[in-house]
Amino acid sequence: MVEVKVTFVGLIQRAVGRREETVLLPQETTLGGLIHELVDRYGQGLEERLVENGELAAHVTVLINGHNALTHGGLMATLSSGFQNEVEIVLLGAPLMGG
Amino acid sequence: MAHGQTTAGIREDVWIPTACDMCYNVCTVRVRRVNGVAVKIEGIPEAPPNYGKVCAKGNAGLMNLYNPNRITRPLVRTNPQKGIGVDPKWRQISWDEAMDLLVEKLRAARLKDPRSLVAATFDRCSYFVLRAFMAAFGSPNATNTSAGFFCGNGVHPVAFTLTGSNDVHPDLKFCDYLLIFGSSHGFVAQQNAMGLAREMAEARTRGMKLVVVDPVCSYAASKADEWIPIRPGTDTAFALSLMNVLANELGLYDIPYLKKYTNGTYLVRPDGHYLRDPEDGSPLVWDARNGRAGALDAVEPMNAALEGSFQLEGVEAKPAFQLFKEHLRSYAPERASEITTIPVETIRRVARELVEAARLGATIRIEGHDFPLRPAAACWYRGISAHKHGMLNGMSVAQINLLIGAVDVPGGLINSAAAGPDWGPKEGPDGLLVPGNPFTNTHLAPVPPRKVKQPESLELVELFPVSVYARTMLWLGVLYPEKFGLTYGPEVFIQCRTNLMATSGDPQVMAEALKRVPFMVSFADQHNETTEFADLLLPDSHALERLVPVVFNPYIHYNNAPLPGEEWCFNFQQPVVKPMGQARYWMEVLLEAAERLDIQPDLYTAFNAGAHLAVAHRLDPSRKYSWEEICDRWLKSYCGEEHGLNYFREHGYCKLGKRTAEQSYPRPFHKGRIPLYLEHFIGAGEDVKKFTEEHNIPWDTSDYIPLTEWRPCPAQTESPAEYDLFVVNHKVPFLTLSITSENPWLVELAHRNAKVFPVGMNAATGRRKGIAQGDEIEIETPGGKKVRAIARLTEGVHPECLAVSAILGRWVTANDSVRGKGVHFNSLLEYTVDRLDTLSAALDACVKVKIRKVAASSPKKAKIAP
Repeated sequence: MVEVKVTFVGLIQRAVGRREETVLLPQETTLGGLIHELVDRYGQGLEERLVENGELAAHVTVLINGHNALTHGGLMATLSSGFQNEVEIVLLGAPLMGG
Repeated sequence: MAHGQTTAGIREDVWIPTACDMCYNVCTVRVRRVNGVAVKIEGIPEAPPNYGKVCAKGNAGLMNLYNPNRITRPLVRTNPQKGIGVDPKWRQISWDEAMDLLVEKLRAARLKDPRSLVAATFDRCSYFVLRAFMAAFGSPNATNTSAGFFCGNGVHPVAFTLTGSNDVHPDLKFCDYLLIFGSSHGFVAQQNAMGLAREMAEARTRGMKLVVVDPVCSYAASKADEWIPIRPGTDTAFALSLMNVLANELGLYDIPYLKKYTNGTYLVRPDGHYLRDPEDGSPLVWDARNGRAGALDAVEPMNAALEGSFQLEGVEAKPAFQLFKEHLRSYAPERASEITTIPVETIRRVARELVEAARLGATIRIEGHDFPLRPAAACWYRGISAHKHGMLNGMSVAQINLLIGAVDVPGGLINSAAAGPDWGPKEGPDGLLVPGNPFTNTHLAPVPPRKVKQPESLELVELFPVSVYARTMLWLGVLYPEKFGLTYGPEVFIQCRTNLMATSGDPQVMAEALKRVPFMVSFADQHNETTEFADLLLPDSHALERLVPVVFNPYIHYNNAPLPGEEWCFNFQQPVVKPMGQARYWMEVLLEAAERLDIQPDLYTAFNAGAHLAVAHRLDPSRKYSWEEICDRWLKSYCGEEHGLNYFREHGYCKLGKRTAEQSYPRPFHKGRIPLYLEHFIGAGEDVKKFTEEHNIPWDTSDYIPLTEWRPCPAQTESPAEYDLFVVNHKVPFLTLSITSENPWLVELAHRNAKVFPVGMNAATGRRKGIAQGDEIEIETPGGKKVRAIARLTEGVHPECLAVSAILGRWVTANDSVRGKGVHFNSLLEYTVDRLDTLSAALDACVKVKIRKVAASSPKKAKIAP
């Protein structure tokens, strides 16, 4: 099994009603698999917040053991077995850029 | 030291490297400090992006620092009444009292609904920390309004669509022919002002032809080879007509580019959607070599048909480019001339000049790579963006570049930060280009469109699936939450370095919105029209008093991105002098508030995520860091272990290698195609229409069309005949942000410049209306909004226009000498949903007026230079 400690930051914390939880997943699990499990627990609305056009939504940043999932395969980023993964799901809100 | 001066009494004379903050370009500078007093600002010759050059604003920065009207103590409002011109009756309080009040209000708001916190700033240097604070608090309502009301709305989404970065600019290193629409690229305005000004000067010396299309003979136009006056809001008709001449009259366009890099070959059904492979859904193209349709990836791009009509299972399908070309036929130069007032022969001549300069088929070898060379470009900015149809306007000018194969290749229109040290644009759904820059992953990109859903943010960006933001909506969301299904309103509003009242839409509407906020805290170094509404006013530090790392972030934004061949570079701001009075850097105040609100761990996590800190330098949520420690980790994360805070304190900036040709001109190195035909708009528009109809939200979706069209602004179609003049707002290079019009040196410059305070009017128009040089006139809109101004008669304004400069006509300012001078353009605007571009959320700045003479000129006023 793959053990994942999930930390929710931002609006998502309000959606799931907690800041942290631990999830056990099958071997060779990806970030997409973790989100699927979380959607099972918290409902389809969570997927709508996190996933857009089959990718992580623009304002969502996920850190897997400190690494930005975007540069490690996005939803296909793998979660390792043998230790507790730390996944931080951050909803950053509207982007601040441009004029 | 000048002759005659002595060193007696000088205990200290040092130069401190830091970054300017007088506009959004944050140029690298050094400041001379003598006996603890900053006395001079200048550039550092070897430091990007300005390489030693500093503009008038930067030189004048000291005058904001030493403004005698600086706010130096926390102030609390004692007058519960709020409104324009209402005295807040400030009372001084201690920082302890101020923090207690701030934290109490924030805590209460968070308990009620964390989304009820709104923050607005144009302090670009503080975005990362603010965003982390807002995320930790649980609010999606951070915004940099008023930026985003007028300016980049029709630029950024188009730039993302073309290149995968949020801005584009002409490649002045190779460009031989530049067509500028409503913009001042290269003339000490907009992004990378000094870098582009230098490149522009070099390009002009080299012989590049510059043609500026603008209702006003702007600073750019006045230095151009040719100024083409145009009726406001009609640029799209001109752009489409230019393309019509290229495609249908001259038959000159870049066929290989269109086949390989755009969706021009995608087959389109009669209903406007792509014809798709029934098995995998991918777009089909017509394989001209084998005489059959094939999936996009299965047909060699050069074999795919760009033109023609094909029968497939009883359905007529045409390549997207065929439809595009047919569509252009409705923009004959004769029709475009009637719309724009540009002579027919000028339209045809400019089209021919442009395509001849583009040298279709030419190549160039740079750094071992062969690139197409297309030394011609068309660029645009606010002038065509701030309209009811701003997105279509921007898209139409962008498409000129596509037609001549000039996007992201040498000499053309190129990306800002779409490609970097280890990233680049990539192929997304339907083979279309999507951004690949991980540092901008939190920017909203318009391709593919986002799903329309119930708005959660006050900005209502959920209703804008192809925009990059919807900031203009925020205050309408505040005013009319029930109209948009919002279940909460603002409780606390934090505001810093954005003078919303002066720089956004109609100040009367803004005033009503601000009055709806129960508690407003402003961080400011000077009083202005917005701080007048604050409940708590906290003294903010000046840029020369604060420590901020990564103010110049080349991975994120064009104003910081290196030009081709220049260096990737980070810079920072450090205290040159001690803060005046009790001023504090507002991010340090919010960090303290976060600790007291028990959200510091989440703030650190959000900061790690938002600022992309490397694992080795990320903040541990279980401990507390000083601001200096955070800065040190941040700098090391981006620039390497040896380039931490101490390195920056000494050097001020850190260069990380040259921007390569592959990064500058990424077009040949990726497969993502640019949509010339905006098929994705159709579905996005249908989604918006379905949602808004279901929720009884009146919403115009008619601009969601796959082929760009010229559409008149409401001012053109709805204004009664006597309102026969347009008013346009134009830039002044030394008055970029509202703070610059409070700077005594810059105000002095303004007084010496005839274009700044008076309103420009074509001399013939003036004669026709009986207006003489220096006359006082009243300007009135159909909505009854009135301002008064001094007329300046000139040949440099379109005969149907009045020209108003900058953000003037100020009513609360820390500089008495500018109060009431000039015209406040935004006071003439209607700030309503009807006047918004529902694609980009641009506020329509197109307004028609009538004028009357109020008083004849005095001898003094009549001396105004034309």
